[in-house]
Amino acid sequence: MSEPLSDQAMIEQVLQGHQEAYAMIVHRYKNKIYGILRGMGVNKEDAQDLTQETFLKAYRHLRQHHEDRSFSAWLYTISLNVWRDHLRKPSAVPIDHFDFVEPSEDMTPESQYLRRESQQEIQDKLKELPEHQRLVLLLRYTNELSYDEIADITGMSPNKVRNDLHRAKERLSRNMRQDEEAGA
Amino acid sequence: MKCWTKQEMEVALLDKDQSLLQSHIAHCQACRSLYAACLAEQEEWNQSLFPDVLPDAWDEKVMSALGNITIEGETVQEDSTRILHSGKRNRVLRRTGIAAAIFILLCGVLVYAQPTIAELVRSLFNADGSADIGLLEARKLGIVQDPKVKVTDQGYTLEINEVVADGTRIVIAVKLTDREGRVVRGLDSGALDWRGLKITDDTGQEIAELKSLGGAKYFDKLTFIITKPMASNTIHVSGDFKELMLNLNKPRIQGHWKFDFTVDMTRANELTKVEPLGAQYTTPEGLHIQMNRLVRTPSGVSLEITTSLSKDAIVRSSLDMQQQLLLMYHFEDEQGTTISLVNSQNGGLDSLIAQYHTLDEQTGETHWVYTFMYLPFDKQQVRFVLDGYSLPLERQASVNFHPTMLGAKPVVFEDAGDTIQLLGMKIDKNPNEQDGELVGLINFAGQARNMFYQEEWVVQDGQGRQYPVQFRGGIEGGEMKKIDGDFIVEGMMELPEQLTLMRKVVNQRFTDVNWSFPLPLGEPFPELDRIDLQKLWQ
Repeated sequence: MSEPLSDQAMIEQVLQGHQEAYAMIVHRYKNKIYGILRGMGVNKEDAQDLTQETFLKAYRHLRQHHEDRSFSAWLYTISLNVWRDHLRKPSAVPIDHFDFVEPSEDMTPESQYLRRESQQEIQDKLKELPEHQRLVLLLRYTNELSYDEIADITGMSPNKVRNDLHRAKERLSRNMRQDEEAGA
Repeated sequence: MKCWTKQEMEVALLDKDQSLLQSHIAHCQACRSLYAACLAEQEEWNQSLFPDVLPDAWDEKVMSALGNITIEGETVQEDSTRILHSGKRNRVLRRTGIAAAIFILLCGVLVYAQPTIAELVRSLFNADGSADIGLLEARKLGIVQDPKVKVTDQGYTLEINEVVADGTRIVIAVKLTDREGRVVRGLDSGALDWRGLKITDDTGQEIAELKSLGGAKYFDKLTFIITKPMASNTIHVSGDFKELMLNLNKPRIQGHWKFDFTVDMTRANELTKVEPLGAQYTTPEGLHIQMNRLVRTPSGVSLEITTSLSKDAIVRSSLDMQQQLLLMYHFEDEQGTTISLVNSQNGGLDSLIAQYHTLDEQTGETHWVYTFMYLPFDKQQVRFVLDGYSLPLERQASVNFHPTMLGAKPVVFEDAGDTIQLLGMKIDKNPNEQDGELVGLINFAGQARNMFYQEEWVVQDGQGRQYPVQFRGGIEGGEMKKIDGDFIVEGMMELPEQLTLMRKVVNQRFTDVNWSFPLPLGEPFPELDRIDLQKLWQ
């Protein structure tokens, strides 16, 4: 049973000319990057485009990534720069998009529907958070970044990251609870 | 070692190096349960925030778009088979199929060809960020020793080939490998409980405490801080480990990995230089600070200070509270640029490895030792600047409120420069515990100029019964800290009509200080005159 390759091992393969090894990097990070962009309010079509643009940019500049730095932090930084550039532009033209969520084989149509409902609810509530809190929450739950790395990516202090995270979780949980109580 | 709080655990979950956490939970059932709960919660958030899955076909689109792009700085090689465009789906799919086969092959080859420990160069001094300036200088000064420890049992081999030891710290690089020669460490290892490693002098007295576990890809770096004066030029390191924990979900491996070795401290002690300091200062509120000495060792610098409180100050601060005293200061160079900050409210610039203190209950004096990996007072003029200190003091401040009316009419608590608005109160499960008991939760927000931790708060009901209060929430850095969260009122099962929130101890921050002085210019090590860090790393 082989262990998954580390980011660095994959990067080395790509830099040695094995372009196809980059597919493993795309596969590993695409949903996280797409999720961050969606969470930051980008629509499905644009989020797909921006996720692709992130990977193309990262590929072009792959030699600039230092092996002693976290690759995921580097990639998320690129994606946020791409997102910020996108905010400054007029709306982009979508090309060849996919519809999902990819259904899991062991999910009934009903449970898929319920899952979509609850996820949609969280995504809606997420939009009510201030942008900086939303960003910290999303970066935190990629489960790949330390507070210091999140601080580097966002330009905040580690203390602010900690506090924004705390506030975002509290507020999101509170809003969800209030909705539940109102619906009960 | 004390158990971890949920907040500490949440921070540790994000650390790349979880060896301290793993080492603790390997031997603590309560923290193991908390760890599992934190992981489950983390997974729940991840699932909720990242619900969408882009299909595999999407990857093909990205890969086909790569065909026209070259990596900057790369020599471009013409390859006609790489010209793939979106729309030519069949070709893309075919190519992806081939690519997938190549991945599997590559993975197989890499795993098979994974180098064994003997083939890899692993050292404290690799340029992988595991060595600091002090360690590099220590190597340049020739105090790295190789105790040649190698002990194997149950197919697992423990090796120690590098030790840096002087009067500041002892750093040991440990390699643990399995029967195939693969390195065992990190999240999935848990490995050994390093607290079982003892460092003693010739008299058998333990002289060092484990301060941190770190390391690089292929070894664990154990850092011990010297806490007692050594009575000899030799120290003894011994370990006796009987179980190995490779994974939380797998049974521990029983075996015996025992070793002991001695470290000759003669050269390190010869190189050690002591600079006596005489400066002293008394703050307006009666904290006396006496600078004692600077000790320069090959791997760092220790600063020794003695503090004592005036009689007036002692009245409001018990011995337990005095243990929480925290000095805040920084060092700056001739241009006024800050070199190192100690206990700053604004964070950053930390070359401090450890600070510890002992309170002499007879004299009331507290003796402090601050250990720095880098403090270049022997290379340039360095100034010590006192920024302030914090000390818990008894306090009597309170505010009355009606719990059920807080939501409509928040109540303000003002004391010692802190302002807190009580925004609401309810009875709910203790958020600090999984399936916690019912507690009172007072929601609040405000600003604090004091530390807002290591304080004592209680609430008192109309019958005079007092309930202890815990704080849960966020504290931002800075001169005025933004604070918010909940006061958790333990033991309160229903909301009384009226309550009094009382602050009994405030961890007061004092900044009305005005003191700085230049450190004496130390005599540099001639060997380090022209230190080139890049070369040292190589």
